[in-house]
Amino acid sequence: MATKEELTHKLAQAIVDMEVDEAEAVAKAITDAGWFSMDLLEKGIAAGMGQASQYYEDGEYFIPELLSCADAAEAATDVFRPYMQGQAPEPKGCVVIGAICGDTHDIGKNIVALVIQAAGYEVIDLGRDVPAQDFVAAAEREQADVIAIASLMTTSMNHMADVIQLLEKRGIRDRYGVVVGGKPISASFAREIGADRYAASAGAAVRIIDEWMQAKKQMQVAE
Amino acid sequence: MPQIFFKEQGQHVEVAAGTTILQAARNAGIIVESPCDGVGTCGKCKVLLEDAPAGSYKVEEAHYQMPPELAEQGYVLACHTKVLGDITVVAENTAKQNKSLKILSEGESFSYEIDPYFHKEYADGKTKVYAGDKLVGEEDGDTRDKFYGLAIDIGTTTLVTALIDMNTGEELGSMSALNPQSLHAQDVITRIHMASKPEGLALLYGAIRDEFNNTIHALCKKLNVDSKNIYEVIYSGNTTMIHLATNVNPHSLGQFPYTAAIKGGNTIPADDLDISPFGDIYLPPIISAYVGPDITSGVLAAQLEKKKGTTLFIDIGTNGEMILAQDGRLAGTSTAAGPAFEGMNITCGMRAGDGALELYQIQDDGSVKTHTIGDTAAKGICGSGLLDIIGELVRVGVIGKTGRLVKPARGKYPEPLKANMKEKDGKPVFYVADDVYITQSDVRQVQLAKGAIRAGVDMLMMALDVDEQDVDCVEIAGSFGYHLRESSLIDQGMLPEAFRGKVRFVGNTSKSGAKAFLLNKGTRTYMENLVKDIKDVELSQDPKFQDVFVKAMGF
Repeated sequence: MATKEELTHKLAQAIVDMEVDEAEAVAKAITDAGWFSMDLLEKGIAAGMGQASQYYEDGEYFIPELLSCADAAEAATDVFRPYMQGQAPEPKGCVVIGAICGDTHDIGKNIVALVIQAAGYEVIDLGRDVPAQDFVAAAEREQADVIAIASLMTTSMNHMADVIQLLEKRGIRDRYGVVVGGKPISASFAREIGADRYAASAGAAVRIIDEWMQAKKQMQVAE
Repeated sequence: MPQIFFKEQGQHVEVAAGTTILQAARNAGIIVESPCDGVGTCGKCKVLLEDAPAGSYKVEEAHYQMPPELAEQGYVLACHTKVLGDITVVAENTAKQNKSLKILSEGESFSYEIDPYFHKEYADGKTKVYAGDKLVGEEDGDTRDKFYGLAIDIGTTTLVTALIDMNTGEELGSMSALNPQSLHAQDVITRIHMASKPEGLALLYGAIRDEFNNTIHALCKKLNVDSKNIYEVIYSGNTTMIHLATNVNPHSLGQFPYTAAIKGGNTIPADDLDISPFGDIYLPPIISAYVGPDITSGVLAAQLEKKKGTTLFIDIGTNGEMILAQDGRLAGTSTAAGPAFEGMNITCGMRAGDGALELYQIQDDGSVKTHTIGDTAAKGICGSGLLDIIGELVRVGVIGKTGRLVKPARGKYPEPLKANMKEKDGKPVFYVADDVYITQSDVRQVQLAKGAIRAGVDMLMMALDVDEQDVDCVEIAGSFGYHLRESSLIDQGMLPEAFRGKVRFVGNTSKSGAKAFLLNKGTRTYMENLVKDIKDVELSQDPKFQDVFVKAMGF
């Protein structure tokens, strides 16, 4: 009989291998043995998704593979949910994400949301064609740390500036890190509209958000 | 003020410090190709700075990463390099390369009566000119035998103009040219973005108007026709091109819910064209924001609504526009394939001009047969060549089911091909000619593009409840499609396996349909009514789309 460590590893591997049924079965084996504990979310599921994200970044995996990994992770989480009894792992931070208004293309944004979530953040996904005031309202309501805005089309990207202007108008600009990304976006465009950072890929978004959270913690300590 | 010397063009240009090289070139009327309109994604506006002193320019970070070996030589992106002091810029003169573009000007059609919207009547030494029933002008003498019209296919990349004798219906000649707008903004979305601003619209409209007039003069001279005897012009193109060719701001096409500012199905004055002072332009009816008059012309030319059984009609391009017809029921959609098929966003991509690899076949022994346009050494890969290459590499296993380039050690593909898989900057690349290669990211671009087309096909079939097996005939329209082979479309899954043996290439039906609109006025009201009955299938709003699209990305 497999040990808990072996099953945890197997669960992570099933997620990396896009095996939805296997991930569900391993999760069941864990709960049947009475071995459920909150750290499985980190060591099994998040570890598997972290590896999958890495493969995606390396070019080993593409969109279909990464989404299949997410399906497997979701299947395992569904098995665990009744055992979590309302507990949730402490997220590293909260990120509000969406595709800017005028734009209904959101697969890229979905991928970024997935990878950020896999890295341990709480992600509030506002969907697509999201107006500036919705970004700001959600960030306020959720006490988010970061606002992430996506745009695939050059015709809609200028609306990203509206989010920043609205934050400034309300005097809450420095509460949030603003990260922008998408095919037509560049670092110079991010500077132009007053965003904090430009993320060229899902992996870059995670690194940037990690840095932001680090800096924020140091600021709080200093205060 | 800093001065830029454009060496190839021999022009000195003075600009305010901080101006980008691209902006400076545009101001001076020098064309530096910028398919993405200077957003910094395509990398095609590379220029060489010659002995530029430090501090004379500043390179801003862009999405596109300049390969290190080019950066070392002094290449920069014209769109992301600001001029601070005097510099010398070497910008390739692309006019020559574009002259060799392969453009398809013929398309299938049907038979119709010659009965144009315009007609002439002669009496008492004068010829009266009528548009419909309305008298629009009078000419001295009997000019009834001098009665011409133009059918223009306005492609995103290419223009085809045919001069037609409206008495006989004969096409006297035709001319092709690059759509000059593509030098400023390659794909449809970029062009909408640019033309949403007045100065952008002025630049793009001015460019195409001038090209139309150049073509009119050249055609008339060649065919010995007086341009004053051209009375009507048909504009057939996608919805965006029609906005831009008629000087209409296309802003609403680029913003959800993506609506057109004009409807088509009407005539407008031809004041800016050098034709008869009584002349006009007819715009065929627009089906939707992304299914345009080029498709209306195609439906007309292919007589889709009259066909028995099920026919799928597709124009493969930056936007895959398609119509599914089943015993007179029509549904249409379009899908954003992106500019990969134009050779853009592809590392070694180029237009279908001299030096473009357009055919790539792997023989059983692993040797490779290729052909380049103009029979010269391969300089790059055009859209049709790209699909050929990807189709073949998938077939032999160089590219795996998920789109991954398979390393030689793990691959089961023919030995001679293994030597072509090399590393560049630590990443695998596959060489298809001496200096021409495919990268992993190129394969991903093709997956996105072909996945989008396939998803459109699948969703359209779902909308009319049609099975793959029930499709009797697949008609591929458009210049790009004409250079493809059925196998390269099916091998990589852009079209379902069930379509094998059913694919026909019907050519430039945008032009042949435009000709029918010109020569038979009855087709106009007929199509204006028919278009209202075409079911518009909107993909981006359908929750199933993402799943279908993602599934269609694999090989």
